Amino acid sequence: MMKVRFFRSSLFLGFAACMIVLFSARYWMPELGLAEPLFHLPLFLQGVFWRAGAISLLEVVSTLLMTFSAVILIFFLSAFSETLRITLRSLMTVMGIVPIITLTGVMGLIFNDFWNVSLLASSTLIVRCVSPVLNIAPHIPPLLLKSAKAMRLTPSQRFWRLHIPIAYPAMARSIALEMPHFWIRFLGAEWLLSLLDPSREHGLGGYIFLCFKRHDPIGFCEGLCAIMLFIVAVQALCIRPFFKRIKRYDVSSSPLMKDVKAEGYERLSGTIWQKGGITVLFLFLSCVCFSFGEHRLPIVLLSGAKGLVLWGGSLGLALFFWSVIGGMTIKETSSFRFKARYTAYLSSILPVFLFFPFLRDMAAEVLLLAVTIQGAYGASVFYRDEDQLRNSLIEVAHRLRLAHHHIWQRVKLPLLAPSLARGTLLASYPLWDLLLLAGMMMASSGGVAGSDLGKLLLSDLKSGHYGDQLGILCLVTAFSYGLTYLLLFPLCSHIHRKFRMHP
Amino acid sequence: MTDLLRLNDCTQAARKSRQQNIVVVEKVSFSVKEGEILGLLGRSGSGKSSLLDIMSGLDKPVEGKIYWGDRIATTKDFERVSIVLQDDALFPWLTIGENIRLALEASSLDAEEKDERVAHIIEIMDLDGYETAFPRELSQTLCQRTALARAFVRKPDLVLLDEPFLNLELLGAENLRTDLIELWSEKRLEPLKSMVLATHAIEEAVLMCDRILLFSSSPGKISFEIPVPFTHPRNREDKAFRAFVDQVYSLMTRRAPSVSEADLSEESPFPEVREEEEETFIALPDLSIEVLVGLVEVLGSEALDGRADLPELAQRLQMTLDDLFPLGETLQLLDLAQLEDGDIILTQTGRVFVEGDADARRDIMRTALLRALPLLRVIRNILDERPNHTVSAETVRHILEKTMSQNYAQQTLNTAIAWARYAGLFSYDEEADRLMLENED
Repeated sequence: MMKVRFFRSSLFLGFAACMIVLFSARYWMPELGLAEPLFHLPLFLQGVFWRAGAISLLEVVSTLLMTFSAVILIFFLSAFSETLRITLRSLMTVMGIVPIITLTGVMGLIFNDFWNVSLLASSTLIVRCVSPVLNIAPHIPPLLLKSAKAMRLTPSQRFWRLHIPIAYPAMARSIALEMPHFWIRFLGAEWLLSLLDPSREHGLGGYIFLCFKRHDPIGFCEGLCAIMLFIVAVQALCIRPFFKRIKRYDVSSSPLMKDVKAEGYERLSGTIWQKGGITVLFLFLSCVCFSFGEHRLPIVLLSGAKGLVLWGGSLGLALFFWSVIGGMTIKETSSFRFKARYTAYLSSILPVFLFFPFLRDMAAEVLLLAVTIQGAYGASVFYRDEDQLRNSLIEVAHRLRLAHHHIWQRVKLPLLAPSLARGTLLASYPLWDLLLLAGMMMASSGGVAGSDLGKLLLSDLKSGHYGDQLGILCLVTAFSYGLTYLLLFPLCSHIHRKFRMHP
Repeated sequence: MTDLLRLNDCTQAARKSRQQNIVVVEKVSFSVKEGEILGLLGRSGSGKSSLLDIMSGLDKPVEGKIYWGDRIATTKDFERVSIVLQDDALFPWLTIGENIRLALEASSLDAEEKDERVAHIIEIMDLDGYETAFPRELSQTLCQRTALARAFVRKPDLVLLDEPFLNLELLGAENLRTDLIELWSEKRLEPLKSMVLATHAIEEAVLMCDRILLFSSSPGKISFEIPVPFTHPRNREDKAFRAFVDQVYSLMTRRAPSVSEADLSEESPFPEVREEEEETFIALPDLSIEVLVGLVEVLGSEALDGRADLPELAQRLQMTLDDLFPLGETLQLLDLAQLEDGDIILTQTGRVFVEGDADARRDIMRTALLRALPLLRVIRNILDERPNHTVSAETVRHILEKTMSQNYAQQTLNTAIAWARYAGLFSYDEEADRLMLENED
């Protein structure tokens, strides 16, 4: 195990060193008097590329620092006030599904591009860090709570010593699952700012946009490689250390948890009136905002309806793909499942969405959206290790000589249902940001997007129609919130109750 | 001996709804004297844990007062009380040393003093070498030992023990008990003045306590106060000890509430009382019907011929006496056996049950369940009366929750369903959460 870790670390460091040597060649090659033809390759001449890389690096660092500071501040304040925790909890459920990319223009009024990107990217990361801790109270074993009270720990001490450690595994997983979304917003914001103002430098996302505009495939690949390097570096330096300590804090298999009722999805979603009320509120706010804007409401609603079709289509396609893969690999060993889970997760953080400008029609858009979000399904399908009970059920089905399609229909799919439901929920979170980005990217490159919402947003950003921008924000938030909490959560809850094999 | 802590007419209730409370303990008064180990002995549901919560300041009684010495107890007084729970409740992500140190987190001691206290308590509780281990690496006995250390490190005046040995394996529990008594007798836990032990294990109470308060259930009240005449160390095998344990057993079995409920028959001269009783359902224990049937068969075997001494039977079946006791009580409730002076004796119905085939046994069990358990009678009546012969299980749960807590209501319903299935009374659709009559062809 140590050897494997050493090998991986060495591989990463070696790759990083090669990239640094390669991309800094324009500086050291002349000093060493090396071969001129190499020196004239575009690869070594791009000062813009280096500056873009530096900007992105600074933005990533500032985002992560901002996230860390905000989280610590929220925890500090929450430790003292139960009321604040309850308020923040409600706020986080909304903030977690707001399509932040729509705020690019509005935030540009207050912040410069650097802080704009940092704030946009850090927003949901903060939500994902904080939400598990704020929601952990019902999952705290009553005995531990009683024990803490018996030791006369103050409420603040109980928060730091009990709430946060118990929430740690959920927080670490939440952050890891949020990283694909983080990069979508980070690079998407840079790309968008570069589109709005090509004269200025906006990091690697902007560099990618410029290369696309100049039909520069080498530059495009260069930028993509640099982005991959960033992603791998952040994963290795910031995210992986979180996972090393999960085992210490994981109490899910502890006997202490026997008194904790597994609330599943119901508690997180609130009552149907609350959910419906918030959805209607955002719809109302969007109507109010559009009334101050230039767009006509029917056009916007039609675009929204098209967006819903795209939303359903991409989720359905990814769901279908992983139903097949999940069914085919349902009996695989723990080792295979671990590797598959890791691979699925890696595939989800690849910035595949940067290929949207190359697309020309709706079908391709649905396909690429499905490819972008499918990683969440994979991570869910392979979430559990090899399960003897599940394998024995399939074995019994074979021995009963059930027809192949019956085994799929009656055994495999029901066994997979809870994982697929969870995957659908996870995949749906970044989908509206992706839809808007896809629309904007395809519109800017002359493609025909499935939904016009992105196109409308892009024209509003260019023309500075803030009312319409806020209108689109509220409309898409209403869609996102309503679909998530009025459709997906109840569906997942039902599937979880009906088909779960484990408590 | 002076009173350290005194409860005066304390009543505790669990809140069921805005209009309704379930009384857990009612007008309980007793005192904990300095220099004694007081035992609170009673079955599950007799309010022992609720009383310990009141005594530790974790909960307030709905009525009554608590005195520390001769004045009303304040928050500062409760800081001199430590409690050890049934499960060790150690923080799994902290090492043993860190768990013990956590108990001093709320104190105003400096780091050096904390380290000193932790080191001292680790030494006297025999936890040397385990300081850097995590709870998951240790046995339950060691974890509970750590929980005790965590309670003692605060140097309390009073320690409350809520069935601390219940979940430990036999030898480990015995070892820990002995060590605790030794530390107490040698006064190595200064400034500890008293301990209170809540337990349902009679032998354990007699082994450890200087005075035992026997509690009845529903609601919890003190039935007897029994001073224990033995000095430490006590010998289980001693004849006087065994005789004393038998005496306590007799006292406990004599006042089993299930006996009085089962005795209520159609000939009762107090029909109005019977009506009230029919609406009051008892909490059923989480007992498998197969285990009950198995016990009846063992009793009816040639070797025992329908009669056995409870402790001997427990040993024969490799069970603890306290696991066997609820089985015996349930058989008594169903009139398949009766408990008498520490023995369990098959009744005539029980003998017929043993000799019968599967159908005969089902019929006998059906009759016994319907006669003894008002809950099953009510459910069966509802199912008979309804045209579709089904009823929502949630409805039954609501009825049960009027007289017992949510957890007991769920447990009672689960047990009732399992028993009813065996007897062919009704069945349960888990998906629809409905009870229904089986097809009785």
